[in-house]
Amino acid sequence: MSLSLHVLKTLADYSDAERADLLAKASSFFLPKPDLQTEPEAPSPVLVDLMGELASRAKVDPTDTSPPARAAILQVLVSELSQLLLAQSRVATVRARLGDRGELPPKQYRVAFDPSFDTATKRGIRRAHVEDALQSPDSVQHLPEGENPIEPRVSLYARRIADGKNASDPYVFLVHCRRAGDLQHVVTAWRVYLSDIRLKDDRNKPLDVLAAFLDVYGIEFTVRGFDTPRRLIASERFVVVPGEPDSELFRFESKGIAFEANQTVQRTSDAVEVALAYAVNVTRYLDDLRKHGVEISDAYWKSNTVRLGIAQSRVTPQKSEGTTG
Amino acid sequence: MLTSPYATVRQDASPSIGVLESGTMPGPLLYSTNPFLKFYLQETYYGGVHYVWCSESFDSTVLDRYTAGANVPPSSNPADLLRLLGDAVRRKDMHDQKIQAQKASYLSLAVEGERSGKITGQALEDITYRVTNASLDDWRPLLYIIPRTPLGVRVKAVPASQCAGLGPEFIVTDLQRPEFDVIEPPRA
Repeated sequence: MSLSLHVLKTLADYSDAERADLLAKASSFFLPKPDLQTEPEAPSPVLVDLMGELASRAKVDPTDTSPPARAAILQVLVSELSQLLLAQSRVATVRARLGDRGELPPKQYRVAFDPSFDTATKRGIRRAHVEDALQSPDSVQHLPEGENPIEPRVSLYARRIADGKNASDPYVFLVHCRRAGDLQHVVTAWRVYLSDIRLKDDRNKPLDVLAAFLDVYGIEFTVRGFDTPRRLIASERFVVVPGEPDSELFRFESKGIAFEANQTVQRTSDAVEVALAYAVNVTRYLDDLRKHGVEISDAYWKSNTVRLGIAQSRVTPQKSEGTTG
Repeated sequence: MLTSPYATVRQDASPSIGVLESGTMPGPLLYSTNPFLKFYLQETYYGGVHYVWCSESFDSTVLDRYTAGANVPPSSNPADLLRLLGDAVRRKDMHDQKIQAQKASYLSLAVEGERSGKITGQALEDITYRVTNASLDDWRPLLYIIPRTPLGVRVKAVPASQCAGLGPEFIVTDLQRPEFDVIEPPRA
């Protein structure tokens, strides 16, 4: 994209809003107008001058109506118009706003790894694999969806791996991130072998893959004050007694089973907002991973969180998120 | 009743085509090719109201030469547009003519929308960012399949002076999401 360092001379005496209006009007003379029922009005003198200057900036003859000449002029016009509509000083704010809503293309998110991700590396997950999945996912799901007002944000990325040695034993590489603006904090990642789970249909979203994974490997847990056992909580709010401590918000029915628990939650004065919470029976999961030829580091079992079978929620009050690995 | 769109073509373009078209039934479906980015912007910032330029046939090149639809040129033919846009994405050609025209169109519509109160100033900023920083993936083509009958008079014929060729072209300015299906062609 060409960037102009100087205001177009034709528009020098106009305000930014007027310049944007004139550039928008000028664009209509280069684009088809399907809803125009009458002959288009002739451009005003200032628009004639503006179109001439745009052509000059694009280094094309203003009388040249060929598609390449039009494209060159439109490229200059888009560059000029976008600079007027979005000041450089606002770009970071807009990017963060879009990122927070999950509306940036995958490649435009920045990536950081939470400390919890170390546990995944001991299960054979490499950072490069995660970065690849985040750059080019087959599917990505940003939570919460729709009008759900809960604050903490997560994103689930899924990439089907079915090449090379995995051609006959494909798996879905599932990455759990907590999202803050345009930054994805990688919480953990899972290899979900398709032969080990049962997907409900062909139109699975990443959250469906996680649910199917937890149908097999999940362990049940409850939220303090709520008796119904769950294997997965996504985008839900639980009202709790104000002032209660954050410890043991979740009770895991582990019965001595080693597990990894991941929760992305936020505490408000009277509620716990759960973006995503689940726990995985790692004894069973790692046994199955070995059957698929995945090597597990001995260091994995030395991880305090897993060895003790305890997931400690690091829940921070108000406007920030906590995770445990 | 919907005025026959062929009448415009017959009078403005070629009387001989008009005779052949007399009494032709309108097709039950309309087809429109649009980049994903346009779909996303209209869903997100324009209340899910879609403005589409469409054709009665998916591919005018395979129609009988005596039908008006066969005169829809490549620049307006959904099948050709699908190929052209798909090729631009595969070539990673962000300077493609179609892409530049779409960018200019989205930005100028956003300016008009903000001035008329249809979208907020914040939405204008968001659209500007998304359009100027669109990824190649944002330009992947989608095919809209639009059942015509329920739309009635909302299907408007494009004046012959604004058509790219002699074949009939249509616009629907207020298409709602439940009124059409979207097909995303497999990527090569």
